[in-house]
Amino acid sequence: MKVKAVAKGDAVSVKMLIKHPMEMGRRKDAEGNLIPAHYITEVTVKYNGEIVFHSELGPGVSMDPYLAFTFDGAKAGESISLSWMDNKGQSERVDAIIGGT
Amino acid sequence: MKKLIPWYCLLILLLSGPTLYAAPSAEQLILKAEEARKGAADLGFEWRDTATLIAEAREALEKGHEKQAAMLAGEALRQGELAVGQGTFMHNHWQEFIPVH
Amino acid sequence: MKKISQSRMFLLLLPITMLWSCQTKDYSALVNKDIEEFRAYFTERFPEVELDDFADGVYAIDDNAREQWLAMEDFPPYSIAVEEGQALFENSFSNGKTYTDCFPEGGAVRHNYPYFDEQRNMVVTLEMAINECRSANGEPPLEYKKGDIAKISSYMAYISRGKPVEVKVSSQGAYEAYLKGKEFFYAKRGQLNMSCAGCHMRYSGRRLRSEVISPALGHPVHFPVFRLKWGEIGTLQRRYAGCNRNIGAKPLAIQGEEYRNLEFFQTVMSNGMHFNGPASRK
Repeated sequence: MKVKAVAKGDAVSVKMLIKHPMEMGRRKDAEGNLIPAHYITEVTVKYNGEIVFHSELGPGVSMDPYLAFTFDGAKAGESISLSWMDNKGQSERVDAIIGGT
Repeated sequence: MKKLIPWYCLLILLLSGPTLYAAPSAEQLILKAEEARKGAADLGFEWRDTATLIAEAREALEKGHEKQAAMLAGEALRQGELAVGQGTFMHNHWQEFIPVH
Repeated sequence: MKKISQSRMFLLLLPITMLWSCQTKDYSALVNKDIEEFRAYFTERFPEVELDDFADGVYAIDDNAREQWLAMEDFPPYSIAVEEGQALFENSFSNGKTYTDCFPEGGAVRHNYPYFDEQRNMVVTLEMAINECRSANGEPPLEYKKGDIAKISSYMAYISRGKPVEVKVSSQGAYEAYLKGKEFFYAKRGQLNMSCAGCHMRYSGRRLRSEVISPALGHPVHFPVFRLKWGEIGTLQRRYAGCNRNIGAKPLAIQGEEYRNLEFFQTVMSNGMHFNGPASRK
């Protein structure tokens, strides 16, 4: 998961690129078997213990989802915590420092 | 006295027309279509669907659908012929299609 | 022994020198004339676009698309492919060697391709060179359209950004390959009877269904490309195959002679520009 968080004045702009197959579970492989579903179900971003972003994704989202949002109340140098969970129970958590001025 | 052609000979001749000149069979069309497709391929100008049409014609013939097979093979043959004409013409005249400003 | 007079000597040597000068045709001059005309077509059609900006394709000529693309460039979708490409590039083969044994400058040699190999009398592309490096080191070749080869190519393209496009056409063999590529570009083909030039020259800037068609000037310069439609990184010749299929022509062999000659011609037409791959496109 790649994260870029930049403070611009009062707002912090956060961009994330999550490497994930986002397999919807309806495609078939060369032999005709269904490729099992494997997709991110939710993405959460926390700042100071508070949820500043929560998204429920699903099989309709393409591979390697890119998400971007802005929130206020944070400053450069502070940290945010980003995490995602998928339908197979796998997850990843990344802490990022807000850049900018 | 000159012997005229007896009427029954004429009748036989007229009625045998359809068997003397027979429309090409599905099998013959498939062979011709494959030849034409190969000719186009040798020029590098084979069309996208020609091989599929020939395969479908073969399938139809195996199932006993003669008319369907002939129709598909006929279309494949036409595609092959047009592609060969296109390739030959373009090889000699492509310079005339360079856009001028 | 009779001395040959000066005038006799001149008459003797004249046909030989004439024959000799006929052999060494200035292929570069012929090609440069083509480049000038090709470039002029687009600079006239899109007068506000600078030469190097044509490498941005449709984003150089459509403001709305450009805005969206710039926002994406902040965090480009091809960045994952470049990272994976770097890992693949630095990973050694089973015999202990790496790609750096085939490619100098740590792989920043995108600008050396495609080139005309005089010994083998053929055009060599970057993807072909990558697979030749693998074969030379006992590794199986990679599939040409996408996957690992596109990732390695995208890493090499990324570290070669800004390098100039200066493809040389200085021999008869190279010129013939160039002409074959040129013929391919302008000839109409497929069931829809369309040519590369028909869309990417005469129809550039206009719409094909909902999309604006990009100008051909600078086309190969930004490849490999993360095409949103593919959802992954892919090579230039993958796009050739797709385009041919779109116009009802059967795609030719990837990295076969025709597509390599076409890539050669297209890159020559972009001489004077600078490589800026990999890129993201719709």
